[in-house]
Amino acid sequence: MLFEFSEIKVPDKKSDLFDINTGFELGNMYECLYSSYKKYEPREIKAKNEREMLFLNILKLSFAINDLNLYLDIHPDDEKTYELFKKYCVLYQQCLTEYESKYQVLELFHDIYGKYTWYKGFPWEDKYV
Amino acid sequence: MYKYEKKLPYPISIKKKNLKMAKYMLSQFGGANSELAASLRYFSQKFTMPDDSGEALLNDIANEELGHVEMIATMVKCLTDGATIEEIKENGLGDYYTEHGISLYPVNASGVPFTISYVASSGDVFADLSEDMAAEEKARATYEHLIDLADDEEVIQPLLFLRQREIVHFNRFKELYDKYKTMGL
Repeated sequence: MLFEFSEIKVPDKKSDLFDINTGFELGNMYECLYSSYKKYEPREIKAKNEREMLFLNILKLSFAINDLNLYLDIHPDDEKTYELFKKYCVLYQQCLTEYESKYQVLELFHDIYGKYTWYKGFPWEDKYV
Repeated sequence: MYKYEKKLPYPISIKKKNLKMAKYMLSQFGGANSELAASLRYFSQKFTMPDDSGEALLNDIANEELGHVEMIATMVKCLTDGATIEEIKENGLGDYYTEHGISLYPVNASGVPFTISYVASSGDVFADLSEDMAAEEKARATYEHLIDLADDEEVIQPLLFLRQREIVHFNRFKELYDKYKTMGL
């Protein structure tokens, strides 16, 4: 499933959230908390093939979910953030299932595709990212 | 309980060997401001946070930091990959090599082994959260020094990412601290 994250709109235009690609590259989903260092600029991360793109999407979604999660811990009643959190969780599950069924399982409990593969290396050791 | 996921928080694709940089990077694996210290600090403190928000935040950040430990370890592994004994000696890693070879062992850049006394868990929520904020600032400063020392874009980019996480965590801890002060705890 290859989709454009720009299609997912942040629910409130006044929201200070970065889009999912920018947030991941900066290491911060929250514009109001972002602070750069000297003249260093985070670069755009490019995927070289479909496998990498899918894996990167998993990393990006996982990152966004984690960053919203820290905010929600302190603001559990913020419904807009929770709506976005839910959207990312659903997309994460879809990307994960597609990646795991096509390439490699990332969680032990998902190793159900016909042959035991969990013991095999880590994705980054194969230089897929 | 814990469940492992086979992925790093941010991709690492370092292809250039750099033993000096690996030695500096060790500080974020086993130094006073390391990811390991951060993870154990928040994990220990979470049990005495006064409400669900506090316990959840410290738990979630502790877990995230453990992912960062793996990122740092992976970076050190990539930076030392294929090192010869001559290179190890030339780059000041001879002392380290004596007992550890090129395996990962939590020490700081000067070779001082990790100790849990880097971490406080005081039983006082404001003392703990102040310590956490200071720890995030110290880790941010360490990442800035590492970025200053680095010359490979493949090293700088993950360091920028990790530095930014310290800033986010600092702000979340501060938010929690302010919330508890407002509540009059």
